[in-house]
Amino acid sequence: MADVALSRPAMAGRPALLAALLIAAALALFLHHLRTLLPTAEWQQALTAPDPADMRQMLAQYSLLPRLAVGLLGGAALGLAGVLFQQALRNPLAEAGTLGVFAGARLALIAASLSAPALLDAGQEAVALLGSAAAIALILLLSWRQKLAPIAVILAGLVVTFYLDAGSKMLVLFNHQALTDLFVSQGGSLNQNSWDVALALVPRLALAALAGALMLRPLTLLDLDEDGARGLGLSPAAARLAAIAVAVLLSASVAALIGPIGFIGLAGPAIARLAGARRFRDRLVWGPAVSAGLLALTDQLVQFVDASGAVPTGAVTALLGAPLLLWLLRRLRPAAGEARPDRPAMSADHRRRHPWPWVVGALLLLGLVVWAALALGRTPEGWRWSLGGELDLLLPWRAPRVAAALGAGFMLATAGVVLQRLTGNAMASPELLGVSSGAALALILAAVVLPGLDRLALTGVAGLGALAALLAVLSLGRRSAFSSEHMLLAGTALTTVAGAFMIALLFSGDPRTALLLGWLSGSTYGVSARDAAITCGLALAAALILPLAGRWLTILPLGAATGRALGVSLSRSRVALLLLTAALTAGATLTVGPLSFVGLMAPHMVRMLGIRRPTPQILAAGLLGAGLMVLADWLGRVVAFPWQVPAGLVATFVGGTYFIWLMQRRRPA
Amino acid sequence: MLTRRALLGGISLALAGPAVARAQDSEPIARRVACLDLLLTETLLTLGVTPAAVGNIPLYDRLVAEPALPDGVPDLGPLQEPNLELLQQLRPDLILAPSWAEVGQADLERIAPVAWLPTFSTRKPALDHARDLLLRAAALTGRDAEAKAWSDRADAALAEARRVIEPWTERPVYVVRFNEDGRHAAIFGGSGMIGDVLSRLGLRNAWTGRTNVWGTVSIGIEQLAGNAEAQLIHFNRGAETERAMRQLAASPLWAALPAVRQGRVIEMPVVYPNGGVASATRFAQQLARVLPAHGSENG
Repeated sequence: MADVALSRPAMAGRPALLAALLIAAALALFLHHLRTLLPTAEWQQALTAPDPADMRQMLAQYSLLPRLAVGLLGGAALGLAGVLFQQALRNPLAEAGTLGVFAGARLALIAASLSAPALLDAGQEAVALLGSAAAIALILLLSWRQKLAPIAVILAGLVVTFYLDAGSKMLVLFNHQALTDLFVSQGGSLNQNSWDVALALVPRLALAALAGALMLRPLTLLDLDEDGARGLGLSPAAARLAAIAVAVLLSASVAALIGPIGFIGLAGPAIARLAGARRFRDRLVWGPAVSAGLLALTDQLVQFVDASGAVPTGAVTALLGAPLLLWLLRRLRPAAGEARPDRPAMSADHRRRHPWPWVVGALLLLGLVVWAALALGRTPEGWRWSLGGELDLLLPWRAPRVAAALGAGFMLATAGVVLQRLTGNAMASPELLGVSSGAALALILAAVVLPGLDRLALTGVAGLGALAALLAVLSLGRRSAFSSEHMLLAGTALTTVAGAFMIALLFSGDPRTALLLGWLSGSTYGVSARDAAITCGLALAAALILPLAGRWLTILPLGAATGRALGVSLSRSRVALLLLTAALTAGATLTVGPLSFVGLMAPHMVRMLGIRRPTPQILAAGLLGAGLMVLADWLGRVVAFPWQVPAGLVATFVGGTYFIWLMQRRRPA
Repeated sequence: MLTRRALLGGISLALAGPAVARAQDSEPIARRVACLDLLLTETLLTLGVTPAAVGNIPLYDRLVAEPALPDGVPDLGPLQEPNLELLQQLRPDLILAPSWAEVGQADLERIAPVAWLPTFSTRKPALDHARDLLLRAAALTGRDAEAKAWSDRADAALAEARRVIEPWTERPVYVVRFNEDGRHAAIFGGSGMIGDVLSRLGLRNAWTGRTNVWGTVSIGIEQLAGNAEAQLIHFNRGAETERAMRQLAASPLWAALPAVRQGRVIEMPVVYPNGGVASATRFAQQLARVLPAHGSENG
């Protein structure tokens, strides 16, 4: 049971007070806005029967007031969906954003607006629902064999989200201008010019709340263990599926009507719980109430700061929500049963005694892939294997990309091995722990604040970002004894912050956005020979240094006591490894963007091959990661010629598919 | 250099055919011009130059459309990541690219000389800037006469439009393109091409709020209540605009906007808002056509 205990005793009435305070603050700001628009004497008329000829009264009635209503109703809907998801999946981290529901809706809406815009006419909600339902079905299918264990569900949700968002990004990249309208309407801006959206939300919210109330008993019993619930004559599976269905319907409606607004569905219930709403029935009431206050207050603040209405509230909630989430994570500690991390790295089921021939094999394979990536390409006439002088002409374009992909893949994979060994967590990787996102975030900030830095300086900046993210995630991890759930969630939070910054930039109309978007998708396009040399140099340095850390990597996962007994200074070795991981991730992120899955995939494949000793594992994973990334870059260059798909996106697709296949095969925990 | 040409010639000849033949007669003037920006492509086509290759043709067809891009021009893929291998095979003798992309695409210089042209100006009025761009592109491609002719034609068209519109200039105008969600619109402010043409025609822009470097910003429909006197000109982009108008028809706030209530909503065919001299001329001519038909005469 994955329920999370609280570090603070509950106090009755506190969640209600908190929700009331948030809503009151939103109302106060609303009244301030109303007063700037209209003298108080006209309020009653404006809010009851506005004069159609008086624009100020009409604005109060059809813009300000419905906007407040949409903030409250939308927030409540997100909070309710969050509570239902969390209870049904017995997972405090579940919400539409982390379960891929929004990513599915987004992809479906983008695809529809490009291929069949007529569908959006009446059926925006249906399109969003189709995408959401498909996403959640995929996630449940993936985690079914592990009996919907919280970690499995969230992990599947993360992977499917990344996967679907890679699809969305690809469509956006190819149709950037064509989608600007969709960015605006899906950016999560709450401005209104009629009561339509608010009135559409009311029955949906009411029905969902009714369904929640009807399911109160069976869902509450889920807090018991499953056998207990079944003993009371209730099918837990049916209740859970019904709750999930209601939550998905509600989330898809919000996504279609307002846009995918992240974190509200997570933050509201979490804050309510933290404030003392521990029983399900309390959370069912106060979670949505706090969420309503949060969204409405954020939206009123946005109106306060940005009068022109250009800043979408959804971007702000993500920015505010992610740090809030990190803070919340620090306060939540896992229940006793959950604290023990899984350590499959240490399981002895399948270990090869002679790993070195496999390392040599990986090297040869990499050589073949590199050769093909350099020589085989497409021209308008078709495929062409170039040799000799013709190849010489193409090499200036192809060689830096291949080299950069190779170096980046190597670094990501080795960083993945180090992180997995350091945390004893098989799901650790620079991408999933948010280390790459930390690097990306630092780079985005650098691009905006300090434009014109060169490659080495950028590597330094990215390294600092990666290190900060790594330290944040690990300090959280330490509190929860490296529980996968906490660390992965912290990682997602960072990834979401990076995404929110990107959305904010998209809306700023900055011409550098397109370049930045291309880079964040992991394009090797702009890599110069010098950049490639730096990337490969870093990878080579890693290949030389990491084997020296082999002893640490063998001993660290065994725990502090063993380490000390064997004479390894834990703190110093750990610091050295952390610095190294940050540098590796930074170097790779600079080249292939923050998401790729190679850092997860390559170490995993190597472990499945039975290569468990640190040094051969690092080298084999590095070579495999390099090969995967080179392959991804090559595929990206030829698959849509003359258009190009960024290597990072291709790697996300390939890696995501591999990961989904892997989860399918995994035995129940 | 010779071997490079000989080798790649085989690959690219079939594609390049007639243009290669032309390239031989006058050396200093660029004949095979590749173009990596929508405004620059519009400018080339205005001068009567058919580009040797263009980035993102579907986007040009969708957003700019006029002057039409002839069939058979090779597409180089995304504007921010044009396919360099393909571009190399096409052997342009000049590449036109926006100056803001210089940092990321400096490698283009290895294929052919690149003219990094500023596609927007923060100091000059947009139309002056577009005219400079036209003249520079003309100098690079040996089309000075065409540029002069177009520049004169634009002046004449603007003067004529100004004369026709003169009785209808009292009311300020909003120029917008509605988002299909019926909640938002792109509005065109003072610093872009649309805003510049308005002021040259003696029209006041009703939107005085913040805009980006291209003079555009996304707003909520309720922002259109800011100026009660304004006329509302909106671009029709076909099905999208129809959807937007259906959504708006259901909004009491929209119905209450003074421009809507008093019948001052005017529709016109879409013009590329970041466009050059040709787009500006077309916008002025369209204004001269629609305002007298719909607008309210000065009192």
